[in-house]
Amino acid sequence: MAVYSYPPDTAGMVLAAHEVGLRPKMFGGGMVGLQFASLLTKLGPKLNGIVNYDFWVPEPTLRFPGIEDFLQRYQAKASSAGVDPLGHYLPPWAYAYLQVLGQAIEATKSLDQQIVADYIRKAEFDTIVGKVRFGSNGEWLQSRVLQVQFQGIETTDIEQFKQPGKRVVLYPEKFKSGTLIYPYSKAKIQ
Amino acid sequence: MVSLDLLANAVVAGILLGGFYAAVSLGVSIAFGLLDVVNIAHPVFVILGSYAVYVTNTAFGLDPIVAGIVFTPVFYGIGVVVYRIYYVSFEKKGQESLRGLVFFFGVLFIVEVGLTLKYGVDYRLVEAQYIGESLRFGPVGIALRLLVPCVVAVLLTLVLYLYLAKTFVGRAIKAVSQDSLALRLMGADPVKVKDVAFGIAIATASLAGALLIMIGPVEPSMNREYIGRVFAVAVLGGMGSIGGTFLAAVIIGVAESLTSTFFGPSWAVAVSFGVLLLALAVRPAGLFGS
Amino acid sequence: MGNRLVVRDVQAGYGAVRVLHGVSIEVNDAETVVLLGTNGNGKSTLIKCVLGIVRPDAGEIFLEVDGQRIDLVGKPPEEIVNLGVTLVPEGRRLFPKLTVEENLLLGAYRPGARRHIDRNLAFCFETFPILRSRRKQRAGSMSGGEQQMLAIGRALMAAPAILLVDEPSVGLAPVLVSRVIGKIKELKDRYQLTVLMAEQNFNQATKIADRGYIIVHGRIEFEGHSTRELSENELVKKYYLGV
Repeated sequence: MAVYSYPPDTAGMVLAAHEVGLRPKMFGGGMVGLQFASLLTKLGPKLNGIVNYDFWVPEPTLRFPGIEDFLQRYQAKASSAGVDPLGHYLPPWAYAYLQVLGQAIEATKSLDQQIVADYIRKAEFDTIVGKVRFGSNGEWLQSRVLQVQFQGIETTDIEQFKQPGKRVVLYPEKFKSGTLIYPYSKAKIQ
Repeated sequence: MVSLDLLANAVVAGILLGGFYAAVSLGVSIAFGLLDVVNIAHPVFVILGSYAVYVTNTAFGLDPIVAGIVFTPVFYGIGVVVYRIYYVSFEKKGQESLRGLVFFFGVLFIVEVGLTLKYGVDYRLVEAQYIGESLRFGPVGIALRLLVPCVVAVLLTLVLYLYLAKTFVGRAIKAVSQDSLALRLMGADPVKVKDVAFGIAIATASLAGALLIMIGPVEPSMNREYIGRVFAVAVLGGMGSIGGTFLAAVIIGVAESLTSTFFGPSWAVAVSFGVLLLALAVRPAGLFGS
Repeated sequence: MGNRLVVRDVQAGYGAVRVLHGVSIEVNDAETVVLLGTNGNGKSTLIKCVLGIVRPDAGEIFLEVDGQRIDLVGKPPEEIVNLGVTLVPEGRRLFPKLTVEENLLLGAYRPGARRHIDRNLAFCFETFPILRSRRKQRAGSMSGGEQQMLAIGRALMAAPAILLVDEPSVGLAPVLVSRVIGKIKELKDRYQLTVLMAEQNFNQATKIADRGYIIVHGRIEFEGHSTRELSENELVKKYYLGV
């Protein structure tokens, strides 16, 4: 069962799935909200088994140079700034975008938009989310949207989401860090 | 062919949803229906209630309903202060109609932006044993996170109804907008009566906020989705009739639930005003108004 | 002992317009005093001064309760009502959307009246049986005469030390005026109520008054110590009896 929803309905869908005893073969897809701490720490064990998209999770396959340092600095400021305390979902990418721009400006020694853009289209960049290269259509050459499965979540504690193994990467193959538990109900019980 | 199971589930879900709408609308029914105060900021106080409950639930694991009740005196106080400012600045000078509305718009934005600055735009949820559990009666499932709010709303409706019907101040609240000089001739100070009434109206927002965040995640700007709906319920219920407000809320809840089940959720938002327009065409004073 | 209302040299008006030019009246315990005057002579303004709705520019208004003097000037209406001075207002001023019973119970709002609420409600229903049978009806849906009965009943619920009645005959058919006046007389005879009634219907008012004042252009022009003195007065003959 594939669900595509914004945060209020995402929480509603996850709760409703438990309330009606939903037992599909797989459950998840494009639910916005299951990436930030505010929902993760409230839904806790109800997340087990859900397969959903994400952008970065603390799995060994995604530990690129610089990411640890970035998250440490981000998390230190996050609570006082009132933003997502984990910072896994969007901040690494946002930081990477600026790394790309910065490297392009340094390499071309130019602020001319055309020159910088041409460079970005051709070059490869080293960022905290790994090596980045763009294709002819302007998107990443290889899609980097992850599909992760929530596994082995026993509490609503935030610290567990900083550990590997709770959000296992299933796809893309290159970053795969674990195996799919199938069907959904089997992962739900664990 | 419409499945009967689906229909039954949609009706039950609508009744439960309606109960919750009643809890959110009762404060408007008192302020707008009985006091003639167009408090469009009421839903933002509901959101404020949700955040008060969220903070205590997250910090101390306090049950959301208990937290909602604990905060009612604080919200009562907020209500009295807000009404006093409104009274001194606008009502006393006879400028309540337009400037008063602008005042409540201002209150709405101040509270909303204040919450956003303090807690960000992330969606917030609460934890309780019964959230995510459900009861089953044959083909009909009842989620506890919807049933508990509905039961609390019924109790809130009863308490308010009895308070307005059986106490001296309650009856004065019902009378105050009809003839405030006559009320003074009964020995009651209309401004104090309105203080109490508006305090109670805002106090209900604390409890309604607890119910809101129990049902689903909350973020500060969500209040705007409720402005139209709560006023539709209050008008449909007959302006100030407590029982009428509850029934109107259930009617709108069921209509919304049926609409989203059979025609898709996109249409549900249009339901409250649709029902209101239809009802007012037949009964201009609302379903239960005089 | 008992209650007494004294108004002494009161001047009052609205903005630059002076309506009362030094009015003095007294209402003694268990008396029914009538304040006679046609429209625009200041009857209602005087009543409003007593109840604190209009603040006098000069003069004294005070209550004597068991020999103790209580000044009324400067007190808000609700405080004056709490002292036991209640008003049956001109035009009745009921709460039209509330039921008859709710209107009556609101009459007993002042703390001094709440203790006797059951007794007073029974008394109201006994005096005005129509109110008992219309208990659950909205006040606004009753006829004018019934509404006037309710307005009097509501004022009686306050267990008044002094009852002020402002123009009870306005807007009522003559037959109803007689009935309303009859009821006030009945109350006075049975319960020794102290009543000040402002009225322009001379014939009706003098049926129940012990004595009275005639107010003309904001001045008391004549004080009659009995209804006979009133009816024999030249002013009365001029204004009311068409002589």
